[in-house]
Amino acid sequence: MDLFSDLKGNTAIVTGGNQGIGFALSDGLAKYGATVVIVNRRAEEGGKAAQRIRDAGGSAISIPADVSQKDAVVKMVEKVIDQQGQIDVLVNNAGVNIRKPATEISEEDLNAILDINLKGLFFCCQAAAAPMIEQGRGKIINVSSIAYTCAFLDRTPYSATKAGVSQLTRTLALEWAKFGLTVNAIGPGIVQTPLTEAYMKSDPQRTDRVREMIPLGRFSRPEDLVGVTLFLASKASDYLTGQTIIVDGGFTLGNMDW
Amino acid sequence: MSFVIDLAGKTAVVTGAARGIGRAVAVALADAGATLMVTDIAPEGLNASKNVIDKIGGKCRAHQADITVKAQADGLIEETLRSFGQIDILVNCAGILRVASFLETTEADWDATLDVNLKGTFLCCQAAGRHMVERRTGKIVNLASNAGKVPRMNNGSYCASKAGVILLTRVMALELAQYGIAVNAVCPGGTDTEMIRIQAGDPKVLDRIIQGDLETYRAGIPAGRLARPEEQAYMVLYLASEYADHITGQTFFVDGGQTMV
Repeated sequence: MDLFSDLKGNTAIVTGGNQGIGFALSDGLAKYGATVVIVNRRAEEGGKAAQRIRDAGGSAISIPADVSQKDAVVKMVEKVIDQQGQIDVLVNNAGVNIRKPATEISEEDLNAILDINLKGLFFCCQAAAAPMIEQGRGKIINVSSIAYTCAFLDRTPYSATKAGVSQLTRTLALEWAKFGLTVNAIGPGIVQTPLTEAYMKSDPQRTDRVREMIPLGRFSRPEDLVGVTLFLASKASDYLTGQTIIVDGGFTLGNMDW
Repeated sequence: MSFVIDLAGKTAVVTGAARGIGRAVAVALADAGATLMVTDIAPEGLNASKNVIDKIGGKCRAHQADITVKAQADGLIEETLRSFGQIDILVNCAGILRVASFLETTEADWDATLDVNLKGTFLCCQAAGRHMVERRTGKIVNLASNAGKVPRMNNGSYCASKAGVILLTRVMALELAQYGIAVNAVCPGGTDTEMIRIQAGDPKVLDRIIQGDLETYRAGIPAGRLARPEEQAYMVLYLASEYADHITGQTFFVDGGQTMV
């Protein structure tokens, strides 16, 4: 069943789309017919990622912007409208994590995480929603985390921002439902990416132990998040809004086997 | 290239397939190429659903069963295996709603609701689950409700049964993950089916369901409309597909933003 053909000709912005989960989502959206706008800080990396997608036959451009700067976000959205004429899908994937005990988190650490994960995401939503509201249609997909609802050691600011992302998802969904926009979030579990690889290797025993705690028996791969993103970007999900969809192989089911 | 859900070669069992969401789910799965065993207690509606599937060229058998009776739930699964040799997907849509205030809910209302919505789901999952465990693969999707997460006036037995379905889904997900079986729940909100007309009673009340209603402390639907049954079916179709392989034990609220829990 060709439920998702409406992605053809869509313009999709993916923040942090140059690597890891963001690249997998960009690549997935492009494979299914969307023109992807990769937004990230470093122009060279964004350009290379867009080139990789074009080399594979997809349609992609790169617009460098620091999402933690509101002005940069507004300009980025203006450029997308200038070049593409529309914004159908916004995937807010850009995010950072600093793993430290709460007692050691500096003001700089806290600001860095809040500015990108929460403030940047908010202003990307705000800027992209304006043309979407005019179009009477739009799909916003925020990358949250299972940490929005579960506590993990040494991730206090990160978890707080992700709880913020999921709650912002609900309030924006409520405010913008009447304009035909849906706003949802994805909550990945533990994802194996080049960025988490070093952390996983730093304590192989812990990594094995945690892997064994995942009922489906493996860590998530960025590709595991593509299907849900395509679903949330397509017409098939028009009645689903304000939700955070957990994709974690059952990790957070909470196996209280005692 | 488009995002095509292709279920060719898969066999799906859909309960409660005579009407409403169950029929939409069966038709969507058939349209995606799955071979269907549709079941319901009501033969006329069931045959009508089969006719719809036949017309779109789907492969389908209909088998009447009362899934609240273990022998009949087992019989449904056995019959499916005899006919098609395997079961890849089970969608439990069979459900009933008895509207009554808490104080006026009779034992008969309570038993009927719990028997169909919870026990019936349990029995079908167990019978199909045993087969899926042998094959080390399977997708189970249970239709719960947003009323399984937030309370609703005069729906006590229904809410309790659907909350049960949600947690049963999570336990099954946990126990069956090791066999490669994913179990998820879809929680519809107000959907344009006969059931919502039972809930509303009077067509004017439908407007109050959509707009919200102070008298019944009911929040409205931000999307400003009921769901079409097909919109619930799309969610099921996604969860039954390979694109959802790493998702298990989750509940999906397809309710136009009504609950956002």
